[in-house]
Amino acid sequence: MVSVDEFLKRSGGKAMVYKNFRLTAGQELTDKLTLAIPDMHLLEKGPNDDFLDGKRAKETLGKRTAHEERFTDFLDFLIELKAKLKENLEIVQLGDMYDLWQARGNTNLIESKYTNVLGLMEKLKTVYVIGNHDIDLWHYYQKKGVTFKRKWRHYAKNKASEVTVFYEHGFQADFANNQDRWTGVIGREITKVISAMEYIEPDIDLILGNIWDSISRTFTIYNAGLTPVKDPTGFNTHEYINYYVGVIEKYRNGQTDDHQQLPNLVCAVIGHTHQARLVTRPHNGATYYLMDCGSWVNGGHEFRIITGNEIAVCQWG
Amino acid sequence: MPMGQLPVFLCSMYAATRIKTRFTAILICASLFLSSCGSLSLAATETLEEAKSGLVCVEYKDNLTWQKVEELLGEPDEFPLPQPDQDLSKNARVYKSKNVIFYTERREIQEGEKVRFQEVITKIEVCGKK
Repeated sequence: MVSVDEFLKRSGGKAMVYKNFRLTAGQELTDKLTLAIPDMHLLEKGPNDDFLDGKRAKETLGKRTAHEERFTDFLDFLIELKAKLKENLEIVQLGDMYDLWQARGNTNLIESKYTNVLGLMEKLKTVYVIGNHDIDLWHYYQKKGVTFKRKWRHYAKNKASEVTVFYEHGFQADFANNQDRWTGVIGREITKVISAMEYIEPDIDLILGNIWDSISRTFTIYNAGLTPVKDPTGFNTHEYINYYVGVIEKYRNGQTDDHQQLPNLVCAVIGHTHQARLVTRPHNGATYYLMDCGSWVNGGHEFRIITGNEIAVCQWG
Repeated sequence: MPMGQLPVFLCSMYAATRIKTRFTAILICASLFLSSCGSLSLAATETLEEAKSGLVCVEYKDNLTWQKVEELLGEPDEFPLPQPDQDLSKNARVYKSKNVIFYTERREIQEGEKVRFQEVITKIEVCGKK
């Protein structure tokens, strides 16, 4: 199996571990190299396309950009790797690949703008998980059972040890974005308003995000003793850790909605927040892992790999 | 995406009123206006079947006869003169208000050593109202 170091070496120095977010688990999590690509929010290369880099410059609108080149370069590398590793490389896209909340022509126009990106991902036999921004793909033909190969969540089980890692977008843990609840419906409408603001100020999402972060930081200080920041086993705080520890424990006890037997589920891999983090949490005699893979939005270029007992959040380029 | 969070929006509105940043206030008002306009102008999601209901279409194929086109779409709006370098049997006929439907498909191509993709047209239909 390809180790993290070997993966980094094969990339020719283009892949690097992000912020030291790397650890060795106490057990073999996977029997293959698995790689997760977080939120991309592909749109139609207009001014509100958060995947498009340099969106302020009119001359880049509708054209290939450095950011798209970087992502394509990343996929080219994965195509080469896939040719060598074949079934021993699994790639999971964690949802919000399309940003259908802002799209003028559903996936149709996005397909015409990002032909290479989408074609290469398909060629890699990517496993697609649904996100809150592309959940419409789940709903268009739900009655006919057509979900365009989108999964609600994906389980990767190590055949030898039966240790399981599960992948979902992460909106399920988010009060304001859970599309199964009325709160998520309101959140979606608010996002549309903020998206409209981007036509006036392209970075308004970042500005408001920073306001929110400053509020969160203040909140963290007041609860310093309770957050994973002060937990020696945690790399960084994560607002969803308790939710996912709860989900993992529930699933381990057989309380799953999709009839899975997951007694050795130990790791949840998500996206959604656009902030890469890696958190460990000892709980009831087991150690659980929560990996937030970051994003490819607004210049973000993170992904995560799990291979054997190694976990790492990485960046490309 | 965290941008959807209600507190973010409420905080920005609070900031706009308390700090009196006129720009932010204008931004929020303008965006509310824009988003309402946007939701009015955005086409509803419809399937191809729904889009074609009420239309009669003719698909372009080799050896499609003009007679068939005229039967389905009616008389053209314009009959341009023949091109000076062509004989009188070669003509173009113009419909000014017909719908054209392009069917597309992603195809793999090779650019040097790289695998790339492009969308190609696999079928064309011209449609008029029934």
